[in-house]
Amino acid sequence: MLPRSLPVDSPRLDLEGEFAAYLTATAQFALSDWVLRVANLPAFRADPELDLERLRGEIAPLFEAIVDAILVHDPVYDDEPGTRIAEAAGRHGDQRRKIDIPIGTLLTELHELRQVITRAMSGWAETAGRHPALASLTLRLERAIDTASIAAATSWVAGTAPSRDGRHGSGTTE
Amino acid sequence: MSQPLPIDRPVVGIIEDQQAIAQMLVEVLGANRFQPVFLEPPYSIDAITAVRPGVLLLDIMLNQASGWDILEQLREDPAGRDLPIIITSAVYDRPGLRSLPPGGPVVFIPKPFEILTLLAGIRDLLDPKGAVAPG
Repeated sequence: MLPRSLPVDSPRLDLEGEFAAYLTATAQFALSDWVLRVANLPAFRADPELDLERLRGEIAPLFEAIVDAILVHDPVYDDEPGTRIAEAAGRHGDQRRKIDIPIGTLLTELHELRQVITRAMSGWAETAGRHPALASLTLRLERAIDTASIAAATSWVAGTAPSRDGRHGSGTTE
Repeated sequence: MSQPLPIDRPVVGIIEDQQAIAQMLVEVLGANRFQPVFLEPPYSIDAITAVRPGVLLLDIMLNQASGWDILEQLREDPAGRDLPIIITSAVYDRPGLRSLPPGGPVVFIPKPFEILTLLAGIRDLLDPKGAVAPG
C-alpha cells in the first residue's frame, strides 16, 4: 500500500540536513581543531611566523563545500558541491606550493580535515542518537575528501611541472 | 595583536610562539566570552602578571624561552605564585615526569588538543564550581 502522504516534512528523515546544520553550527570548533593539528606539522612548525590567514588557505570554503556535498544524495544528479570542492582544493594546493609546503603535508592537511569532520560526525551521532546514519554520511565524506585530495595534489603538481620551454609552471588557478 | 574586548571578561594570557596558533586562540577565546591577551617575548614575569590573567596558557617549547623556566619564575613571584596555568605542549617532557614548583593549579593539555577541551579546562580553572557561563 502506498503511503497517503510522503513524509517530506519530517525533520527526523532529513539526516543530512540535521548533520549539515550541526557541522555549520560547530564549524568554528572543527576549523580551530584543524588549525591546531596542522600548525604542529613539521613543515608549518618550521615557519612560526606563518600567520593564521595563510595557514588556513582555502580550508574554510573547502569545508563549506564538503558540508554541502554531504547533503547531496548522489553527485550524478547534482555535482555542484563537488565542483566547488575541486576549485577550493585546487586553490589550496596552489597556495601551498607557492609557500613551499610539500605535497605530503598538503595531503596530510586534508587527512586532518577528514579527521575533524569525522569527529564532529561522531559527536553529532552520539548526541542525536543517529548512529545508523553514520555509514552513508561517512561514504559521502570520503568521496568529498577524495575529490579534494585529487584536486589539491593535481594543482600542486601542475605548478611544479616544467613547461615545453623548460620553465616551471606558475599554477593552474591564476 | 590587539584585542578590543570588554574588560569584564576573564583575562586569559597566551604564551605561544607559533603565530597562527596564537591568532587562532585569540579569535576563539574572544568569541567565547574571554579576554585573550597575547604575550610577546621575552615573557617577563612583570609583563605576564601586569595583565592580571585569570588563567595563563603556556606553551613549553618556545623559540626564545623555556616554558618550564617561565613557570618556575612565576611561582617565585608573589604575583604569579597562585596563577592557574594550562601547559600546552607536543613534547613528551610533561608535568607528570618532573616535580612542579609549589603554587597554583597546573593542568597539562597535550598538543594537538581539541579546542573544546581547552575551553573546558579554562572554565574549570577560572571557576571550579562551574559559575562561569559557557560561551
